[in-house]
Amino acid sequence: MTNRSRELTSAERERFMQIDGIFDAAIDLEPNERTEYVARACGGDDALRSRVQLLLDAYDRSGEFLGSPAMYLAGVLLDDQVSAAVQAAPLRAGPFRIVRELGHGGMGVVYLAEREGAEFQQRVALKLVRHLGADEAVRRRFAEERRILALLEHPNIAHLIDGGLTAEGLPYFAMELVDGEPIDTYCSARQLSIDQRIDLFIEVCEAVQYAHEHLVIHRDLKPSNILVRADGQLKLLDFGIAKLLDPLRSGDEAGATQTALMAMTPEYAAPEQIRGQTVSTATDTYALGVLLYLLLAGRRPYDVRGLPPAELQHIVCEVEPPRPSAVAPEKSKRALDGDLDVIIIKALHKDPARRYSSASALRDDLRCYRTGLPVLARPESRTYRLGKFVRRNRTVVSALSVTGVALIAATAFSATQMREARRQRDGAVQEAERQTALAEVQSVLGGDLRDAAGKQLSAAERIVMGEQVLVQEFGDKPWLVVEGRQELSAKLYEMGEREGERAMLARASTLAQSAHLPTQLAVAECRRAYSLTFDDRLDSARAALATARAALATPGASIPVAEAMCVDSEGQLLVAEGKTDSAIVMLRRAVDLSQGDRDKPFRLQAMMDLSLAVRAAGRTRDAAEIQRRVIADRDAAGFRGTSVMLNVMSYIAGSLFELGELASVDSLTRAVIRAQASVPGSHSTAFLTFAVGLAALRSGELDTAQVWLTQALAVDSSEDAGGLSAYLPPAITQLRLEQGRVAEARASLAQLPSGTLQRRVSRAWFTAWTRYAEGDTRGAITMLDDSLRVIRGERDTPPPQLAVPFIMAAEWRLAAGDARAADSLALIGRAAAAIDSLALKRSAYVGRAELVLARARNALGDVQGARGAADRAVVAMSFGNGPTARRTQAARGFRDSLR
Amino acid sequence: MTEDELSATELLVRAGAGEPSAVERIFPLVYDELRRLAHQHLARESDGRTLTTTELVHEAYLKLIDQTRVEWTGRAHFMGVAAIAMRRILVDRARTRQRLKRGGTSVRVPLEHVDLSADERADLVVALDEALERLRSLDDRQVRVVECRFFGGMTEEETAEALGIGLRTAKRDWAKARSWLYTELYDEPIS
Repeated sequence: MTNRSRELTSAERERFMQIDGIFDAAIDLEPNERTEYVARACGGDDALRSRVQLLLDAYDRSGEFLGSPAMYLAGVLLDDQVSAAVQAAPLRAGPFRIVRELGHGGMGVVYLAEREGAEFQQRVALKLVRHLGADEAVRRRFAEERRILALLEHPNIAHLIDGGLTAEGLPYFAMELVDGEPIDTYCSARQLSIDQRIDLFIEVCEAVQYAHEHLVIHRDLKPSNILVRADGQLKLLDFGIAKLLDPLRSGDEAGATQTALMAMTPEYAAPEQIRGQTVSTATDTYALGVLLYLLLAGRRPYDVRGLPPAELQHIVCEVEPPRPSAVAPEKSKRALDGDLDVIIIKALHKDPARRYSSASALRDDLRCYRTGLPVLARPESRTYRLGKFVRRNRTVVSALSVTGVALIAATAFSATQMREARRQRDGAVQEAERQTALAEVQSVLGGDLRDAAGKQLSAAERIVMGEQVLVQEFGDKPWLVVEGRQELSAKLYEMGEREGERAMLARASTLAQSAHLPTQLAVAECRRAYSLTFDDRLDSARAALATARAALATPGASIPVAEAMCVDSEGQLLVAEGKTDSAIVMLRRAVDLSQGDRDKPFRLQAMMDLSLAVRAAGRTRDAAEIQRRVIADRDAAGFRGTSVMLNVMSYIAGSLFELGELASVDSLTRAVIRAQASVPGSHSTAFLTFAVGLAALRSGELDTAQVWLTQALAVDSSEDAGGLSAYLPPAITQLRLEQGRVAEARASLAQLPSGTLQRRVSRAWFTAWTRYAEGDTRGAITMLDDSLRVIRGERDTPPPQLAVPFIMAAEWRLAAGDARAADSLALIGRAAAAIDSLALKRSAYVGRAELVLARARNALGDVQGARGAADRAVVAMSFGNGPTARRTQAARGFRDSLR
Repeated sequence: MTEDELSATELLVRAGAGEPSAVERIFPLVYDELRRLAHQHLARESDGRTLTTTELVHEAYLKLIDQTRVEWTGRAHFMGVAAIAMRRILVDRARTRQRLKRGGTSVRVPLEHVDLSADERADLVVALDEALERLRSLDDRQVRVVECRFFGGMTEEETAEALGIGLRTAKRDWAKARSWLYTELYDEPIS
């Protein structure tokens, strides 16, 4: 083939000048004079006239086209790559615009910020480390707070919305913005009764208990951190000095931690905090006691504001507080005297061991009081009991009872259980527990769970519930919760919920980090990196990978599968960065490393990732081969019936279409459809149906194509994703053209997508084809030639996806009697279709090109050449279209006629 | 910083004196400064639409060039270079986005939700860039006009000055190029 540069020939340039000249003159004329002028100027040259007319049409129709500067159109593309210029006060943080400051402390600043979407406006409280130069401790503290918030999702706790780095590199996170007033002023402003105040306080206990179950101690409970909204909803906020407990600490002090001297509010500080001793969940119970004292008696147990430290310590640590009923206003004295006095004093006990052991124990006693049952607290009691059986989430309990799954009591957090968890860390037990936990999660995901109205729960609801079950039942065994969360994140990944997937993984990471589970931390982080890479957030992905690598470097942390996952994610990142060759090396290592993956799913993932990198490197056949192996292993991998299979299929179908192996697409896709159908609850989506239809269409099996494509159209429009919008219309148009339903084809031309080169060529091709079918042979050939020349102007051989238009151009030329032109066009089409030497024997498109070639050579009198081409056509088509396909039979018929 | 300022000014003076290599050498300076400014603005504003190219280009000019040393024609020259730089910046970014999103493959059915609008924008910018390259081999001047008006956000008058062509020519070239590009992007291709 001759080498054609981008430079056009002088003849072509001359042609353009000719068009341009006529066009230039025509636009000065009144619209009604143009047609006549153009006809005159073009003489009898119809092609010239039609092209000038096209430009004139565009001149009239183009309207606002390019009317606004490029920045308006594309400025948003720059947005995710904002420079690292440092600014004193950033006005943006990630997707949020900062509106004004709400408050600040030593650690950072809290702003009111908002995120604007097309249809919503979200206001958040955004916390930011003030300076890039903030010291390491501040940054660590900040990261800790964010990690803690990510762990906590409770209706009474202001939740984490998002977080990251600002363009300037300052860490930030966004929290739910709570528009409310402190609980004490809320109560007095509304003159709530004692009982109403207790009920509200019980909600505080719920939130604190929830935090404790997640191993989080708040350490700064006070009215200004407990807000009540106008609608009565209570929210606990500011985990700025909260502490994540380490559940696997050795010794009897497990569950407690040493407090450094830190910012805290003296009025609410427990004796152990003042003394700088270990704090525990009981420390929060103390602060709750102070709060309840304030709410019910109208003042705090001590007034220590402004006292020198020594005096403060003396009062908080030594002086017994007066009974609330003794200091309360007259009207409340009687109500407080008795149980409530006892409950509050117990919460305020100087010795943490003699307070309520947990917020839920305090709450339970208050409930007993409210319902008239005897309370546990006794003035002389020296023992305390663990929290009762907790069923916080009625939905979970009732839903699970439907399936008969026993719910293990989610007892209050206690040191005993942490020791137990530590004991249970050895192999066999661990494995058995893993199975139990995962089975439990599975039963939530797949069981017959219904809501109050009897409706089956959605997948999203099941995942939320699965996590709740996990935390409730296994909250004392962090490693199990981490694994369960990873399991759930995989489910979210399958559902395409990547935001949710990453949030789940982030919670797994947080827990893994605090529980010192480096392997699991690494796995969670590299999976997060994988997900981030997919969403183009490469910087975040790199950061996650760095965390993962650091975790894997911990002695004993590196196991092959974890290593493989990280290597795989690194490979993905390299692909995204365009470093395909390094990516392939990396991904191959990931596949090798994951040979031992017990349940195989990860190995298959690594193979898929490898195949995509190989394909990106232009080695389609190798990619398809790897993908085929993935498909073959699908049952063993347990992927049957999952959307992962659909993903794999979409990739392999893409490769096989490109290779021209249409029969393989057909048989593989049908096999997957059958396999999917045999799995209850799964459905064949539009994509599989579409792939079968497209294979049939390209093979010339029009009736089959009609059935499947129509079905795909029906499924696709009923699916909200609408993933085929760019692919179905061209296929339907082509089907109409093949069927000779020209009017319908013409009508559908307007709906064809445009934008990419390939789509534009498809449009031009189908438009030309329509003309051809309408009888305008010459116009059609000219138009198709024009568009093909555009493609070829750019490279020597057109891309494989564009082989067929070239072959069709050859077919038309042949039909029009120009065998010589047909011959050379067919050669170009064959070159485009022949991705590699194997494709010469296997590609349906190569076969089709060979058949035109054979016919053209025969017409030119070269019977020998025609025979050779016809033989090759039959070989390639037998594989590509299948031996009995109509096109193959036609080729065979022609070959036999040459003998 | 001062080094850059001086050299950009110096280069512009030389370009004005008819030294073609000076124009080539000034391009990377303008490109970097514009990109930096664009990102800085974007860091402050909620979306790229509020940012006008004109402001950006003028800001870059003020930053890079010592105006006491440059003639009026030098300024027009600068604007022309800036328009090309803006094209490169946006197209580079659009291509990066396409590459990252699609991993370089072309037949991939998206089964997940993606940010269609930004992707469509990237597609359009790239398609336009390709079309402009085809147009360049036919009529280079029309391409320059599109760069100034569309990418550089310049007026008809500024475009004419920057390219040293008449106002009428600038207008006609713009009209013709728009029509031609429109057929390229939305109709069947024409050579």
